[in-house]
Amino acid sequence: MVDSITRITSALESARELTLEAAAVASSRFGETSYHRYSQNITPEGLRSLLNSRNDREVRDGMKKVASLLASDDSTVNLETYFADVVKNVGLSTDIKVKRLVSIYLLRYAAKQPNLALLAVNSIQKSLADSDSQSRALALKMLSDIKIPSLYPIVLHSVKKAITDSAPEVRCAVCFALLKIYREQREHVVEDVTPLLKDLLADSDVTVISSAVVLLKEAFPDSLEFLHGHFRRYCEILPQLTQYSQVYLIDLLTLYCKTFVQKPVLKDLSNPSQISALPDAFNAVPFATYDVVFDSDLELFLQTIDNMLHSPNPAVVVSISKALFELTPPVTFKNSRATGVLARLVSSPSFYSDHGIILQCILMYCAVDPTTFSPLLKKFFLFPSDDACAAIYKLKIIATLIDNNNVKQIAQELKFYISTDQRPEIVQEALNSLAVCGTVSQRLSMHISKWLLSQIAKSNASTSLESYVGVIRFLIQEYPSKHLGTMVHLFETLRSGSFLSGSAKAGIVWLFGEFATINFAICPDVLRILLPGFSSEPKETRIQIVLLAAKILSCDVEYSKAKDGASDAVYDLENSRIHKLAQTAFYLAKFDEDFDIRDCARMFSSLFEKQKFEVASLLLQAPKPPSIRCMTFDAPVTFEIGSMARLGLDHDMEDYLNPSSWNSDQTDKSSELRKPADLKDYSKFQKSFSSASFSNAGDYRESAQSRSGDSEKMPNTPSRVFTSSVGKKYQLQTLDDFFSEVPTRASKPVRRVVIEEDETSSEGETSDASTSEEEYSDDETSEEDSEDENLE
Amino acid sequence: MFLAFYITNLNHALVFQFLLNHDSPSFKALWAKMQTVAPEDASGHSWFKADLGKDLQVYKTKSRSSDLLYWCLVTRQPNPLEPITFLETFESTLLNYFDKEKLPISKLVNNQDRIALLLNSMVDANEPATIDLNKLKEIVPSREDLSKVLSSTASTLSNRIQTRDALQSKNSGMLPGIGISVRSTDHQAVPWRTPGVKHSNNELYVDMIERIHVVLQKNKKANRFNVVRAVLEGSVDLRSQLTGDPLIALNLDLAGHDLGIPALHECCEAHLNTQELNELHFVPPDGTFRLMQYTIDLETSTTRSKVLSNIGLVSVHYDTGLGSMADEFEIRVNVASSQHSKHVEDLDIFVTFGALSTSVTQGAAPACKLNVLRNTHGHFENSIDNVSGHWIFDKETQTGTLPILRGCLEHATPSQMESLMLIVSYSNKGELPSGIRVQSVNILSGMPRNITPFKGVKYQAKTGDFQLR
Repeated sequence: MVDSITRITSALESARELTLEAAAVASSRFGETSYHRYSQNITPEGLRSLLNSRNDREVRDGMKKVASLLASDDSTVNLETYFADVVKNVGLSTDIKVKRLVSIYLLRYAAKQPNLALLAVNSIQKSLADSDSQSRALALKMLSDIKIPSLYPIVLHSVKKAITDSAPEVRCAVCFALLKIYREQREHVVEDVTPLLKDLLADSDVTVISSAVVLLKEAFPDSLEFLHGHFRRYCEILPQLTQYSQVYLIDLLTLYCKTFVQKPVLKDLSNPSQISALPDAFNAVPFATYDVVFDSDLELFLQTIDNMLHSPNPAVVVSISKALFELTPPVTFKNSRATGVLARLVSSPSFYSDHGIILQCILMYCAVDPTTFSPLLKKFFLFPSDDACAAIYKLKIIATLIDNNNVKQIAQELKFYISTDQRPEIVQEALNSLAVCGTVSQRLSMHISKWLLSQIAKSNASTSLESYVGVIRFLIQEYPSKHLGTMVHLFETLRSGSFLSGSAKAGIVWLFGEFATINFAICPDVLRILLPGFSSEPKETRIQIVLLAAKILSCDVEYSKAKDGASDAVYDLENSRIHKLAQTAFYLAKFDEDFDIRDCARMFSSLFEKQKFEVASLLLQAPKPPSIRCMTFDAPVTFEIGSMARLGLDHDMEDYLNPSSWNSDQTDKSSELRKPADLKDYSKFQKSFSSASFSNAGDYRESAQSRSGDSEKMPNTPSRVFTSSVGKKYQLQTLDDFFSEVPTRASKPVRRVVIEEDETSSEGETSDASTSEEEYSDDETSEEDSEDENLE
Repeated sequence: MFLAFYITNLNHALVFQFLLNHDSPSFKALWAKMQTVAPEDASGHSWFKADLGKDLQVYKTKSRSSDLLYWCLVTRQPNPLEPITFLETFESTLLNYFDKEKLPISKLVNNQDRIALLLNSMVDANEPATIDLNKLKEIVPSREDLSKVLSSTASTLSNRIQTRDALQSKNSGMLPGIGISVRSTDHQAVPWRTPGVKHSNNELYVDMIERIHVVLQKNKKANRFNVVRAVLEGSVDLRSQLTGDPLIALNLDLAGHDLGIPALHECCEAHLNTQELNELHFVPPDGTFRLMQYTIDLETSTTRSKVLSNIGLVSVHYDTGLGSMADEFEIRVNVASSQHSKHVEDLDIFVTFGALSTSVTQGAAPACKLNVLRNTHGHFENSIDNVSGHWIFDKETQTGTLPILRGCLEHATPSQMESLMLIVSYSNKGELPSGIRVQSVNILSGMPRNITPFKGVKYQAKTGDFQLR
């Protein structure tokens, strides 16, 4: 028995293999590749005949060919010459795929052939009244894609009509059509677009809101007052929007909160009578420990976005974190779950991802308040496969997180990166971070400089040596008096290291010049040893030697004055060995081939000759700023242009993260303005009539009237739908138009009512609708007339 | 505001372009412009941005799975994440739409019209519009060609066999779900699911994949490893082909791990706060999707042993400075025995002393040479620089073995010996390093009563960055 089963199984298995093989063969013969080959062989003339064919299949093949020509940027065929052949299919073909392909073609060529494109408008308008909602949406999209100024009134008109369409995808298309019109016409259409946008924002369908948000964000980003009545509802439905609309809406609502919502109030825990509003600067909270009281609406918004942290889209997470960062005091931000989610997003290695951008965001938060991310320090240690961009920001973040407790661990990691990484930009950044480690304590500074010196001695890669020297210079500048040993070491390196690059050597020589003011004793000797080899040094080093000579001389003058105690004592130029040394240096430089060096030497020698020692010391002994700057903001930060520059963020990201300020205008912020009484009823508006809905009724009536007035001109009244037997749409459209004839009633919400209504009532209204059919029959005839006109 | 989309191969040869405005440049023009304005093409990066003018930017991302570059031309916008995430969404849409793991160029070329239609729906008014895959599939129906029909017949056949096998051996721990109600097909239950889906073969597959990212540092004195980084990056991918609007409950045994706040697919409706991570309830979209993406953070756990027990089947130790000349080293691999997986695949250990390569070439010291004295498994391939090489195992290495490699680095200084670094890579099936398992997948409701779907679970562990230093 078992045996027979296995035999059957194996037979089936082999049958399967056979079928698979057959499938492979078959697919090679009937599959896409063969189709592609066929499609390749379509000649330009053949294409024209395909497009003009009566056979749907051939038309489709032709359109496919057109689409692939569009997509492959083929310059051998000039597709513009096919305009009429392609576009006429929009009316003839019943296949929606062909129509969509035509719409892609129109997108590209309509503006180049405006006259021909206008011919297509008529058939597109016809499909605006199609029974299929997808066709209607597509027609609207096509109509608005044709960017010809004379067409805009027609588009606007169709849009006003379609805004009451029962299908949400059509209303979505309305949003995008409005956006297209607005982009072309700007202020000319504001009055037309705004009432429509208000209607769209009040829509009950979530997908429509998604599109309306895009329109709001792109066209009227400053008209935040549109959000007044919808704020609470949007907070509720925010998670259901599309991901991109979520990002936009979170950003918009953040701005809204800053403009129209009361700031959170902070209460000092140690002294409950102390109350203050959230300060503008992020870390300028006056209390050590405090309680936060949020406005109820703000709290609702914060609660909503906190629940959305599970989003798979990093852009959403980043905008949530941004909203929290801007709207809440530091302690709330620190304790929010957003920090953990951001850290999760970057915790795995990042070869194929956008970690660099998220890390920039984290870097900004860290720079303002390092304690936010300090528990997550390990997340920013590098993986071997991190790409350079991500690695650099990770190292910058590490630099901001350094404190007494973790500095040892960090320094050890950084040393590993410096000694093993092959990418110079990462080594450079790790060195910078290491330099920041050195600022924590003097002992560490000594340790690090020693380690760096040993690295210099070991290594021969000249590229990173400059950065080593730069870091040592920074460390010595921090604790100059303790670094004599380091300096001596450096000099040893300078003398023995023929492998040092010119700029690295120059850096060391410069360092001695600076060191002269702190520990003068060794510097003249350095100069003495350097001078014999002057001519063989590279250019950068030579100029530094000249500078060193000048610096030493200037220092010596000061010292001798200090020793004498009298400010008017004359420095004995003739008998000073240091002066002679300097003169030698200047003399050598006089014959230099480089202009700068000659110039420099001439300037200093004349300064000293004329005994302008004060000028010289001003020039030469000015305190130098540290080369590497700590990244954290110590003082309370109010973000201004440039204050974030030192973080080295991408400039777009900098713009994005730059927080807007809270609106300080008191009248605007009064909660009365923001919370009118009828807003609370707004949730009822979706299900039934309410007084709130009447605020829009006026606008609606206007558009309804204009529509009935225009219906003679326009070929697309819903009369076609009436004759069809599609039950649901039949009722809905009829109702709409029925109510539009009765201007005394607010007809706008009717569409929604019908959706919710039970069968009996809709039946009752159907009978009403059938009476209105007669009224429309007149329109239909006139519409046909107008069609004929258009065709001519 | 998007102006154009392009797909090219890695050598910047155009595969597909979609221009949203009549004046958007073709790729040829764009590429010529880019050469002059932003010639620095950081090809090593996974994404790249270039400013082409005051108000014009190009974004480029590299495909994760295929050898393709995705480009888009946008007007300047403050949040660089938006175009990048859109390009990523676009890629995953294409992969799911064509139902492929990897997109070959020929597939794209053959389907240029479809891709154009998809993009035409995904972008309206130069802004992202419809991105739900089910809606896109409605708008652009995918083609059922003959090969698909044939292969689906074949797979049904084999499924039958497997199902019976599974029932016989009873090693699949899943209960067959019982549908209790059939919803009306007209009304859309959830936005991500097309109403009235019908499948002839109802299947539900759960793929759990975890990647191991570990960086361990050897503490020379204590002779043990310190954990620098240890992260498990896991994902739960589902492939569902179910009739109706089924409600699924996925029970996970989390093995005591804290998943933090994982990314969940929108079908989980995580914002409602009703979800428990160990028992996810959701109505799945049709086709392949990523239900959950989580990272398990082993760095915060206090005990080292807990970390080391969760980094997978293979653990590696090494010693240096052995032998009379102190230039020998020994690598001991422990492929732990496991109930669930018989072998690990493609085990490969990269041995290198080249971390301090700068010091190796310097000076008059004679060049070092890596020699293998003996190895118990696999073979060793020296690299050209003589200080590194791959210890390559057979395709499959049995679990429960202890391979050892002993080698020496001739003319090595002690500091060079200490610079030994190992990079381990392998994969295994049947078990996740974290020990997370699917306890059951139940279909609670929404399926026709008479259908018993086939359900399967697969576990896979892979290494990402596994480094010992």
